[in-house]
Amino acid sequence: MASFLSRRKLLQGLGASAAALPFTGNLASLGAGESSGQRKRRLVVMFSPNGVVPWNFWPDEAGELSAFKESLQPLEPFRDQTLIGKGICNKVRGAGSAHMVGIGGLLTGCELMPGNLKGGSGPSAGWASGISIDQEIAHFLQSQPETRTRFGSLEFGVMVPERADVWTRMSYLAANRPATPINDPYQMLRKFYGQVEDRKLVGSLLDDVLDDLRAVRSRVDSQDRRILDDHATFVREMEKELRQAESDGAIGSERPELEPGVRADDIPRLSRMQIDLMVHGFAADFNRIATLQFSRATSGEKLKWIGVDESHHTLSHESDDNTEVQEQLTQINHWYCQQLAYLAKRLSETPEPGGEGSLLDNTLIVWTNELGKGNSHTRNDIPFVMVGGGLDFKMGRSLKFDKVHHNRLLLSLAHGFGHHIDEFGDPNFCGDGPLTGLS
Amino acid sequence: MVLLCLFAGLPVSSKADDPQQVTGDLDRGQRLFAQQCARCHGDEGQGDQDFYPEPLQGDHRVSQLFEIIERTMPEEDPEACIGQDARDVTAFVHDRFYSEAARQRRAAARIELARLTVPQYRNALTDLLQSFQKSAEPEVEQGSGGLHATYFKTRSLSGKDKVFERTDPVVDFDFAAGVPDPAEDFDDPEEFSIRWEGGLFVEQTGRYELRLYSENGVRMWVNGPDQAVIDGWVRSGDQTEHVESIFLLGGRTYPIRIDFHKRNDPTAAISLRWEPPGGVVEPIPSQHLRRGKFPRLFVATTTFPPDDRSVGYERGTRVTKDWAEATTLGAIETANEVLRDLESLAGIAKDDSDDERRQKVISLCHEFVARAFRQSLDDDQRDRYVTRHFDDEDALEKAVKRVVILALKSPRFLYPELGLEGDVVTATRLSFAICDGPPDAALLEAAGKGELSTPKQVSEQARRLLDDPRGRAKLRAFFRYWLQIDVPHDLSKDSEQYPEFTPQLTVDLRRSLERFVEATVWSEASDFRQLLVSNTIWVNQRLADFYGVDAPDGDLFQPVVFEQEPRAGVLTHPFLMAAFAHRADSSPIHRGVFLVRGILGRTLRSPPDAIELVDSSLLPNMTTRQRVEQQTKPDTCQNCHRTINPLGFALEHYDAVGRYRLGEAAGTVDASGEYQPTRGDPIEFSDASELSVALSEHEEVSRNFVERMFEFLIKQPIGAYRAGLLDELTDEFVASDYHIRDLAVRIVSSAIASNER
Repeated sequence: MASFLSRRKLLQGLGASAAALPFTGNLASLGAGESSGQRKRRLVVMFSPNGVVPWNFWPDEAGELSAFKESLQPLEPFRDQTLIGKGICNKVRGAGSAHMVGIGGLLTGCELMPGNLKGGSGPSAGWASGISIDQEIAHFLQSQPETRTRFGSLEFGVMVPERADVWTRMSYLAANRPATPINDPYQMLRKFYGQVEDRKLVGSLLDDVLDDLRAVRSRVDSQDRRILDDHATFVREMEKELRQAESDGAIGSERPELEPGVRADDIPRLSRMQIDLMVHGFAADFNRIATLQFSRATSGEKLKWIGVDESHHTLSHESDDNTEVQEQLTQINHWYCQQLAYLAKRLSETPEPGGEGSLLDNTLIVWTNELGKGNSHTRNDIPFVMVGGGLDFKMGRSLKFDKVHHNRLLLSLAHGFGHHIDEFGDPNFCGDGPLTGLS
Repeated sequence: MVLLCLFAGLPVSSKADDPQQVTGDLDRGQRLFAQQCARCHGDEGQGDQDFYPEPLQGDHRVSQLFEIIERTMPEEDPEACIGQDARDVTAFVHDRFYSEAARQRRAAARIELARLTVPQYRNALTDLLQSFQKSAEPEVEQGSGGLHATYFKTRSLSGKDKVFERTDPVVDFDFAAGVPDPAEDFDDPEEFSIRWEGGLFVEQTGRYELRLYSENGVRMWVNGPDQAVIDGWVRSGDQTEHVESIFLLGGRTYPIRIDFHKRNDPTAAISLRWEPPGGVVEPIPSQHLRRGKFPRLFVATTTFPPDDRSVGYERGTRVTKDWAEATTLGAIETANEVLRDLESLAGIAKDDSDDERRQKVISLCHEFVARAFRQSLDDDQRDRYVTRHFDDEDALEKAVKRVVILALKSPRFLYPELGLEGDVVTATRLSFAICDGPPDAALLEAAGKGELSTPKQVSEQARRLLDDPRGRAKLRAFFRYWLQIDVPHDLSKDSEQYPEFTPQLTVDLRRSLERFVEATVWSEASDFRQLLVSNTIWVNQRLADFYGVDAPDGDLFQPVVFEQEPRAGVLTHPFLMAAFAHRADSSPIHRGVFLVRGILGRTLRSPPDAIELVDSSLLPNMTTRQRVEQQTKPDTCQNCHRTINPLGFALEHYDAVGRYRLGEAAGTVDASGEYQPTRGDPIEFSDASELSVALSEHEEVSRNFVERMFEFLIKQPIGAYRAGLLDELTDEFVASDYHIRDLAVRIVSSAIASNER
């Protein structure tokens, strides 16, 4: 392994090592970008379903953010790092119901394909016809050595049904190619560390393998010993390489411990575990882009842990006059906002490795939804609540736009990463380019 | 068009390590070596204690060796041996003692300790895991191929909406805007669903590209209920083809299920296609679809470096670092599979206590290691490989993982005969020789009861295993090797001359050859001579149309007797005729070399010079035979071509796509000639038919066939066994009326009997 040392050097600071090489082969030059003065930038898109209760959500005034309405109260500690944009509309039309287009067009900015799925009225539909912005930016970052990471992007899910259809998919690798969010934190942890663990385990067994070879060696004649000796040499080489990696301290370092045996219906705990893993992945620079999807469009989840025993979707159809239900809907969004706040908190507590400030200072979280409001199914005033300093936006403000296309916000996100594309999704919705007034 | 040296692209494997680029005069090289080199290196390159004690052996290519010698030798005066001198010395050194081939030649043949070959390794893991499954035995429904289909009148695929059931030979339907069967009771052409279930049988190991085409919603599971390999339940845009590739082990049948539903779509269509290794995209033929229930099989997908094939057949007498690393990855992959299925493998019940769980898992591990090593473990081994890993209060799963990895990294698993004693050695040798896999339960039981001690008992077991799917798969693989079917041939032809010779047709041809061999081998007589003289060719409709015989229906292959023209079994089979031919012309040289090396088992040196061969377009007035005769006229060519050419010319009645012809543009075909065997009288013949009759009972051909089969099955040189074994086996082969399956049984029995190491 002639290049072992140099590769090892490159891997330092990643929490990985030669033993992790099978999956870090593409890390050509970590650190180069940072040393050239560019800070790391990250994006998290968080999704929750079925619209919001507008009067309990949107600030009354544009301008400096002086106070939050009830749904957004959990964000109070991060008020000066929050940016709220009202008046941003998902104008994508075509095949599919409001919910379907709401989620399928949310990050893609384009229509659904015609297909065999029908929801409500309107022509039946298939998958989105283009890539989503998170994946677009991830491709861009992966295309350059200085921003390339092990995974590029990670898709986290919480209570996303194990079913691939338009309602359950937000992120698209390309037209017709939805990305599957990982619901199970244990699976995510295996994705992070499974191979390293395996290698470590193999390393601890190699002495036994050598003993074994020695024992059988005595039973064959001298000419046949050659093949066993060759074999033993390779085992010893492997042992040496693994020991080298271990002495670098990379194996087994910093691996997060997950509480074992958490049940698949313990949503609050799973949500925290997923967020903890997301923060860990950012700290280890496994990825710069992540999505965190709660349930699905048209979610019928009952959020019993906050005392809501009725299906979210059913509740969201109730009229504005039903104050009891509107309060429940407000509480539902309040709980989702708590998850956002927990993510912001964990990011803010984690220092930027090798950089300045906290992870939150270099991350933009965008919390969004497939609808503006549940009972009208409007896709005007789609909630876009942004937290963190990832993209040089000017935070601590509430903005009011005049019915702008959400494609322009998607463009702003790309431009925030230095990816200066002129159009994204449906070009008809990209006039005037990125949104003005964000930074 | 000018063709560069034929041999550059000659698709035949050479037994020698052919010198490339550097050729020299061996005799002159020997003289120069004696003068300039022998003082330090010894007369035979064996080395000299005072000067250079190491023997002159290595694995540099001849061109590299030449470069070293020219640049550095002799040490005291490197200028003394350069240019042609260095070339001659290199040729001599390489040919006489340096190369692997030379060392093999010089060393007396011996039975070498061998690890599992890659196919054996994969089979061993699949069988090992399979042996723990409760529903290990497939339930095969008799009858011809196809899948069981159930049709429903809603999209629900639920029993209450069932309309009818039937067997569909292939899944390839276009229902347009209608229902699957208007005579049946469907409510509404707007909505219905179908489920196909059964087995997918594959012959060859490799990556299969599965393609499910549909205008509607479809899902497909292959080899396991866990996750659909294809999930196209959402039909979207014009995405009508779903492609997924999957690695499958040959000779096995995997469970397959396809769910289909139509809803909100104007029309309905579905087609189950694949691209098998080396094949073309086609609907999966009914021969590969089976009705019945089949268990999921574990298939290790870890990539392995190819086995050493330097002596012609694959064998496991060498280890490399990448092989050692692959065995680690394979062990990890298997350990994960065991963990995935731990509850069921260990027979854990829901209400088992932690301690019961632990005990069940430990006994599973004991059994796992014992089966992996093909022996029962003594107390020391039980502790060493299993029990002590459970000492820590570590998670159970981690201990299981340690046990599995340690067992599968152990030489006792990787070298199938190491550490074994008694009848289990016989069982192991027998099974790996016949099936390329470990002994099954019945064989181990026989060994345990002492019922593998007489030659008769061994033969009976060998016969039983030969008929096992694994045994059939290995025999099939042997014929692919012997007839060079698995060499990547380029069968594409000149599209103006042969516009109907499509890639699909070349795949059909390969199947035709394989079906013919299969049918012959498994017929009662199992007569080797039929392989060489039969005038039957297996054809489907496409082949029948192309070769001008009466067509059977559809894709099914049927044997058809070619009454109108002479045919000689595999020797004139259109697959091999097309494989050993140029794009527009036949190639007597390729065909002749195939006969000389492949069928007669003679060795040929590589051609001394690169020769430019001219094709028919430049010499339009000469027949192919005349052209080849002219171009191979020089004495240096004739050393080999006096043997090669007449045999190749014998096949001149078959053009570049294997069609029979009486003549070409430049004249009638002359297929007559003479072959001089190494022993005995010359064979005279007027065409391929006559030649094939003579060859079918010729001792040279039988002997070669016996030796090739021996090497392929046993994976050791026959010379390493009892003296005279090849003669005996050949005599017995002849005496049995050339019975192919009997030969396989005899080879394995005799190798076991004479291998008392």
